[in-house]
Amino acid sequence: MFRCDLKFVSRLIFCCFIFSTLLLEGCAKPGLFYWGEYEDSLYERYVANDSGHTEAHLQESFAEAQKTNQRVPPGLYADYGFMLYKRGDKSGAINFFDKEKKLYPESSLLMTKLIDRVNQQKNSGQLKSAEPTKNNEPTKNGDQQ
Amino acid sequence: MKLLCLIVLATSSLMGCVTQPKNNLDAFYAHRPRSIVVVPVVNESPEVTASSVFITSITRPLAERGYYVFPVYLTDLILRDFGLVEAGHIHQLPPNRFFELFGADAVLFVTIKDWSTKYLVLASSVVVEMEYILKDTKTGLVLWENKQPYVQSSGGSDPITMVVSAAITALVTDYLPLARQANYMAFQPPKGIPAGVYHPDYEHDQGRF
Repeated sequence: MFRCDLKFVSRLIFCCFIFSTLLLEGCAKPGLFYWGEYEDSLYERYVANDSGHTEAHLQESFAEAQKTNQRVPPGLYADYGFMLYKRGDKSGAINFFDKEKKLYPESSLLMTKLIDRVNQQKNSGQLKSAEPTKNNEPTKNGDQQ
Repeated sequence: MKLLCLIVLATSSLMGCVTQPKNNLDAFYAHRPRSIVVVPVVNESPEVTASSVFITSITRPLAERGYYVFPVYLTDLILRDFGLVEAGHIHQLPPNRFFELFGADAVLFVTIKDWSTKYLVLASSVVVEMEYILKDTKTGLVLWENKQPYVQSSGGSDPITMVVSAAITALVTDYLPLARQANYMAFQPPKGIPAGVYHPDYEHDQGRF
């Protein structure tokens, strides 16, 4: 009789544990922003050292956020703007830095700096000077201690 | 099943012991940051990929607490542009440097304390442990800090399952879900960070911390 009860109780505890885990996950889901595949895009860039899908991932996030009437998370427009800058699309870069600044005034100082820098290069025709080289990109192993 | 019951009970009693006194948030409320820049993490674990895997998991849980989080990839590139490559060195910089560079209200320094798989006889447990220190960029004051290990054990009551899952864990340990969960937990009440300006609980959650 006691054995049976213990079994029941332990099952009950186990179920409660699973349920609370699910509940916790459930609470985490409906967020403030639409993230789409942004975290995957970061993982690819940092860990797999491959930025091939970054553009598609970010574009998907913007389109889906608009479609579902959700907010684009902090940093995504800036991230996209910088990708355009690296590719040489200065007007596109400025446009997205400006979007970030409008959506998140907290980014204003940095975005203004970046826009000024891109404009300077635009006017002086110097593309190379401040353009990050391949060696400047965060590497697979990151920074150790 | 008896064993499982004991494990569950042991874990929950352990959790009870872990509960620590609440953070002193006076400095936090006095300086209430809106924006946070997360700088490259210091990795004290032997796992070389830990910092790059970790950095991909920090933005979302922090932004979902209501803060403007500077894009981590761009942050890295900008720091590198200024010759700031080594995380240990970056963590030693005066916090106001991050206001000058980014206009951030606060800077989050993360140190990975543990990132490993520990093998027992028939089971294994994966551990990630991070220390988070949030500093005000204008005064350099510590606004908030947290540190706790996050452990996931594999292996169950059935010896065969235990052996199999231990073997699978040995092949590839995916730390990413654990890092995500650890970050999520670290920012939640009671020891977490109060809601930021983009969160509906902003200025209404003092009682929970």
